[in-house]
Amino acid sequence: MCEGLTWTPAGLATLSGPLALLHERLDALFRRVAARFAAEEHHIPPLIDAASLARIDWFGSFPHLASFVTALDPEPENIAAFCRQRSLIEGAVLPTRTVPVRHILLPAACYALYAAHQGRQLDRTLFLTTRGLCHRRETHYEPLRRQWSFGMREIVCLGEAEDMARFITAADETLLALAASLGLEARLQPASDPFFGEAQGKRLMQQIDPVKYELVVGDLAIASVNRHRTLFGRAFDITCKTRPASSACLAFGLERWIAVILDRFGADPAHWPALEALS
Amino acid sequence: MKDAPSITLKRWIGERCGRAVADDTPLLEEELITSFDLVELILIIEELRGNPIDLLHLAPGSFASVAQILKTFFAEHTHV
Repeated sequence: MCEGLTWTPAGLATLSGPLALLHERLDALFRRVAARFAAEEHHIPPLIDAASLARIDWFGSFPHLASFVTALDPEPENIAAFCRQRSLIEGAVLPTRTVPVRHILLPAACYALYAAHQGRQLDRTLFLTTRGLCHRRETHYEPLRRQWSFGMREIVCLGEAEDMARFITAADETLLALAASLGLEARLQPASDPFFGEAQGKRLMQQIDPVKYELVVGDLAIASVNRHRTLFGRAFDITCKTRPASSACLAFGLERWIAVILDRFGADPAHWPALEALS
Repeated sequence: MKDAPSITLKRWIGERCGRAVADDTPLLEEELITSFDLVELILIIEELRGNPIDLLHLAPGSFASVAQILKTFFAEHTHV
């Protein structure tokens, strides 16, 4: 295990010292990329309401990735009954009666931005950016490479359809240039999302119409460029000049960038690249 | 007499998306078929051509337009 990384098998990493600093330095680098688009910073909550995700049929596509958030029914006797248990059973708490699940842990940072713009009528294309703490349930976890909880920096283009192609071209070029400047052997390739078994149409659609490309180093996708057309605009009633807004996004997986830097340059921080020299 | 595949496909897609569709109308770029439509559309194509489609090897762009669908899945037909 790398110094400065504390790991639990549940897929949770704690970073400290130079590794924690590297996390921040990478995010600063991606914020400088966002600044090229004059993207507006957003601070978002780590939860999202289930109703928002239902608008894009997220639960039909990725139910197996969901991390549900619930709480005890506040009725005092219910809470008292919970307290009387006093001990864990095989490491788990057993809630007594719970409230309905109306929120899940955010699975992708950009969802929060579309939800925050719900019902907006835009008169120009917007560029937005945010960093989210994201969560996806997986069948296995691996430090820095596949975590339950991980950091994601996103840059979103939201507005006129005509602006999406330019954004995607710029995003592709940016990713390849960043990888090259870090000396990473990387390629852009069509992605295959882990749709749940019954979502056959979505899987086929991604096959015939690749709208998501990933920047891959070795076997690890460290960033992606996604073209949504009007999926989010229609789902969240966002228009631009009276038409349903189009959107596209550029996403960076922060821990995965750390993983490829460690692979390429080793664990000694003295050998890590000067990210501040990159813009 | 049965309609040619091109007519059947354009009529079906047109009914789904609520507008007239020509041979070269960009079906995906203009979001005229959804992932829900796609599965049904594949079944219709299989019925029209009389044999199954190899879903594992669907190429990007093969559903870009009706003309492309005909070229990809009905290449052996002379009258489409």
